[in-house]
Amino acid sequence: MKNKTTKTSYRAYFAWNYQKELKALEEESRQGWQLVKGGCFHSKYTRDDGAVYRYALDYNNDLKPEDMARYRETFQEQGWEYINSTFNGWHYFRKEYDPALPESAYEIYTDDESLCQMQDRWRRLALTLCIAELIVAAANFLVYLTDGRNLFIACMSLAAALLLLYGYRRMRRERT
Amino acid sequence: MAKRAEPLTESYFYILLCLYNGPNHGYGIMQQVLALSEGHVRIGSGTMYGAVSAMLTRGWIAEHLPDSQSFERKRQYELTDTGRQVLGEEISRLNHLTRIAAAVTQTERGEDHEK
Repeated sequence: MKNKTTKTSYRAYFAWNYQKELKALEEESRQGWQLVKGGCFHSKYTRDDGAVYRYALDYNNDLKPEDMARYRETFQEQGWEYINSTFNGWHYFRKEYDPALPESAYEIYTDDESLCQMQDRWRRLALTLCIAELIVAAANFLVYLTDGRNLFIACMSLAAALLLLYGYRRMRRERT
Repeated sequence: MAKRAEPLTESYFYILLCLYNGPNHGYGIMQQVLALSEGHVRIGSGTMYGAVSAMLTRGWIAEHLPDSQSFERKRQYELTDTGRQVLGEEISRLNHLTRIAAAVTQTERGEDHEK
């Protein structure tokens, strides 16, 4: 049987569980599966038993195209290799694991203020989407009261709003 | 305006301090901070990018892109006059605090000795 050299995983994580995603990527790396493309809904790996990587996941949806070079250089100069970015502003990096380096060498946010700023970028988006979902839910609930239609859409929007509100609160608890 | 409402964070302070004696690139700043803090403070890439971006916007530092004429191959950062003033004010503030702290703790110790 021919050994697989690539694989796709459909394991998805909520944004506020990004630390769990990093742990899972590191476990894959230890088992010889190296991330080549990270994503919100699926990720791709290639087989390489020659190295073990540690990963970094940054959320920055404020990056202008002219800032991208400086952004990637800032990571590159500390040994972070850029992997890819998702459509919604998450950026994946990897660094070859060196047991001689301290744990802090694998952290990209090394003070509370900057970590909070990163989390707050996502939290602002979550709050905006939450409000939008609440408006959609309210509008559809009114349609249901007058016409008897759209109850399902109203409930789904309300559920989405509550999930985003939960994420908004949880994101802050992910502080290391 | 160079005025700022709050004290600098440790990362901001170290970055400005590392540029005090001349321009440097991101990796150089990180290494110098590690050396100055005797290995206690490491500025990660995310923190570095955020701090540098904010200080560029506020005009505390300026960036120089590498050009084909120069020996330097990396993007460098340099302290501006505003940045130098901000750093100077912060150093004065910290000196003031340590003077107050010394006065208070020495007084208390002196009183203890008298007992």
